[in-house]
Amino acid sequence: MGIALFAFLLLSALLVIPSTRAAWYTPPTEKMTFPMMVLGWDDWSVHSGEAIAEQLKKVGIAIEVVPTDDSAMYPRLYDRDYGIEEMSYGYAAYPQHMYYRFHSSQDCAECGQDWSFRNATVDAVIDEMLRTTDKEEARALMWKVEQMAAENVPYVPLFLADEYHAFRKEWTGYTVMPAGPISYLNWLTMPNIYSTAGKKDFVIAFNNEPETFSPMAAGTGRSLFYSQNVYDTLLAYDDKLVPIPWMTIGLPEMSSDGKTITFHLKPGLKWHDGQPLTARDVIFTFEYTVAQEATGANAADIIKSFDSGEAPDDLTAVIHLKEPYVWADEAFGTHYIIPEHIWKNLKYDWEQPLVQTNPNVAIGSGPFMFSTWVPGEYVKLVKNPSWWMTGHPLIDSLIFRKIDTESARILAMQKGEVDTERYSVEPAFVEQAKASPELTVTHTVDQWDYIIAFNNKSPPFDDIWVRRAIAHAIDKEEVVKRGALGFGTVTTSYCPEAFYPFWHNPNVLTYPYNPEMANKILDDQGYLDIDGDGIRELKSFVAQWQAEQQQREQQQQALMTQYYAIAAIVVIVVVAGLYFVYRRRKKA
Amino acid sequence: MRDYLIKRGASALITLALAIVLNFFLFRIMPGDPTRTVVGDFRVTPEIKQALIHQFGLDQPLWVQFLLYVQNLFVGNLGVSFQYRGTPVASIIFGRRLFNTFILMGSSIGVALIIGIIVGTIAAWKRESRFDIVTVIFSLVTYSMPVFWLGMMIILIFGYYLDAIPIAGTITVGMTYSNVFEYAADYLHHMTGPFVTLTVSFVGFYFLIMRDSILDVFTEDYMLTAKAKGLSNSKILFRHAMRNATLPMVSLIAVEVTYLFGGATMTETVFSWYGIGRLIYEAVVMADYPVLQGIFVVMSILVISANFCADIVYAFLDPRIRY
Repeated sequence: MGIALFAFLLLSALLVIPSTRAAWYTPPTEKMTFPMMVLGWDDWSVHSGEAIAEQLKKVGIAIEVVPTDDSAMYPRLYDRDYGIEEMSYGYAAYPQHMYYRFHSSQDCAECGQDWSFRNATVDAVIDEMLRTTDKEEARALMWKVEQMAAENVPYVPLFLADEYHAFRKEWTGYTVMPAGPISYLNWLTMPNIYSTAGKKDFVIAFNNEPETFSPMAAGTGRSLFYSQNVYDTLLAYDDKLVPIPWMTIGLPEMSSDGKTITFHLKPGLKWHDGQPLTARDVIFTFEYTVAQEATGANAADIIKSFDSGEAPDDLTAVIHLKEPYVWADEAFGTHYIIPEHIWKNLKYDWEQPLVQTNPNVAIGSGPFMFSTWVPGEYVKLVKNPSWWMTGHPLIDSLIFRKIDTESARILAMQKGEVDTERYSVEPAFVEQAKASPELTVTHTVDQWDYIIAFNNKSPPFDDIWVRRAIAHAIDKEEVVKRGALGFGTVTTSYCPEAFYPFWHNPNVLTYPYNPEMANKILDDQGYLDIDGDGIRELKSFVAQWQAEQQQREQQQQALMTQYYAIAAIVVIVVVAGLYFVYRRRKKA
Repeated sequence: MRDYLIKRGASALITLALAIVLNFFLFRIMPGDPTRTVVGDFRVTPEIKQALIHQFGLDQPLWVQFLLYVQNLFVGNLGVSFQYRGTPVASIIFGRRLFNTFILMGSSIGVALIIGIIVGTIAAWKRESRFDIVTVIFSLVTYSMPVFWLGMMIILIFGYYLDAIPIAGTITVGMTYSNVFEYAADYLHHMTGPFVTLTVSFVGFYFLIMRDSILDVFTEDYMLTAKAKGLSNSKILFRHAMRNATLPMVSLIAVEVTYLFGGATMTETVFSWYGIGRLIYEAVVMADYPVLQGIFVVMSILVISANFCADIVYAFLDPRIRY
């Protein structure tokens, strides 16, 4: 009985768990003292935050670094319940983040920008850029966006994480490009890699297996990488992230109104089961993506812009867009193409996932064919002998092996059990990998960009001068050195040359490290340290204090005048009195 | 006896019901945003996000989610995983992972128990001898040693330098087997590392408990009686002392049953052993509630029934326990 009562009470108590969150951040009212959220599990975010806190102290801004778990960090970001934060975001193959991070429409919970930046002029230029299908013209507009964003500094870019990749010495033929030699943005490595020692099996160590084998549901780097090797795409990227023809002959044609794209397929393309791959499959893929609201690869962009498609013949795929979109060719071009004859009866349903490990279902047209999957151990792909790039891939099989820890992966590479790993070498192991005679280590930038962002609505960060002063006050070289142990590349713009050489504006406004300038800006703008404790007071507080000061001075002056008057009267009275006394004495 | 069974059974059922309720709410009090796991990719548009959240029922009020959970549980449906994109939880738990964990944990706990009980008894008998001191120090050292460190050392020395055991996994990548014995041999070869690590880390605990419990028994009157009757040392030790001292071990084993199912996260991670322990860790990190719930429901059922069995065994073993 007692237990039942206890259970009942417990249950009723649990049912009233509040579902709303109490506010965390209170904007300061006096001093420029702020808690800064950093991502607790990410050492780089935490240590960069500590370096920045010390630098800002020199310009009179006190930052308290608050390592925060992502379960607390993201809700606060979405609710704009913060003043200042520092962590890494991510770049895609094309710089769509320039839209997601600066357009007003993305100022919402769980959207691209967490900083509430709204600027109608910037919006107009971004909208125009998104509608411009000529890449050169679009780039001119992108330069404008980059410049305007730099003038407004809604956030300050800090650095890109470096990508160090370790290979067994005998492997060569890989391509080092932004995001690394083994990544889903790199189409060139897997078909061209070969062993000088004649090895034909290439083993990549993964920290986890793909969470799905469906190209329509792939959402993480590892599942996208799997899909990229089994399913082919119309276009690919070169080592500068510039689109190149892949399954197509030449780049697609764009109609003059920018609303129709035509892809011309290479003749003789085949699925892994021997069926011919036609333009109909291409159109089917996009129709399927839209109809089933898939989430893989570029699904979001495709669902947004796909209107209809047609295949006038087997080699021509014509796609009509709802409206012109600057990256439509890349979004459609790098979406994994699926076979209609297999998928037309498959429903993309979360309750019944497409487990793509049935050899009859896992049919693509990519350089490798699905062979075996042993859950928790490995996925084995074998060479597709009838792939369009004749003679490639140069290896016979590609194996993804699951090894949970970095120390074991490095040992396995040194020992020769695996040939490389999917992700960048963890910083603590870079020196060991470089020193190892069995390994070669490559170096480039990764897609994770660290930034320090402001809540642009919350004072004093609503003041553009405060944001600019902070931008000047940060020594990014030092941040990389201390925060990322030197394993980062400093970024000075929102579309940095290291990642987007094509889109980067070489003349964009930058904020070189200049603490004197930062101090001058803050002084000029009225953020003064009035109590001399080394921390500036807020502008509003200073203004209030100054007004009070002035009032006090006026009162004092008024008082002084009164004193002088009284003193004068007293003097006159005394003098007059003395005179009378003197006169009396004289008379007497 | 019947009353005792009914009473124990009823209390086991109530405990189970409580565990099921708690199981649902515990993970929801935990800070974490499952919608992020479901959505995953930052490029996903808000509309698609909403669709996903709806498909997983995360937009429903908490009590509706709770009723659905209980209803599904009764028909054996543990739901679908967030992180593995809708794969049924039952197929994630009751598959290769469970097999791997059962074999590894079962064998290492079993061996550690046997060694612990036997060595513990002997050490207690030869109290303060050199054997006792050495075994106690060894147990204290292994018991307090971080298990992941031990595992990494074993990998480094035996896996890398001596090349005697594989570095990771449960089978050799890409190998084809002509019969089941070949498979078993490969599997056991891979299991050597984690098995030794776990056995070493478990044995100290069992040893210390057993040794203590025997020393307790030595002070009992019936030991004096046995000695007075002129029984041989081995008879006193193994007939009277050890049998009585195993009683605490029975309740200990009932608790250890959880490990059989729950696995050892650290060891599984270090050796890339594809088991339940690693799954629990990943599910916590990814806020994958259905998987966590599934594991803990099964675990609660296991522990409660193991304790129920232990109660009955106790009643048989120890006449002092009244029904």
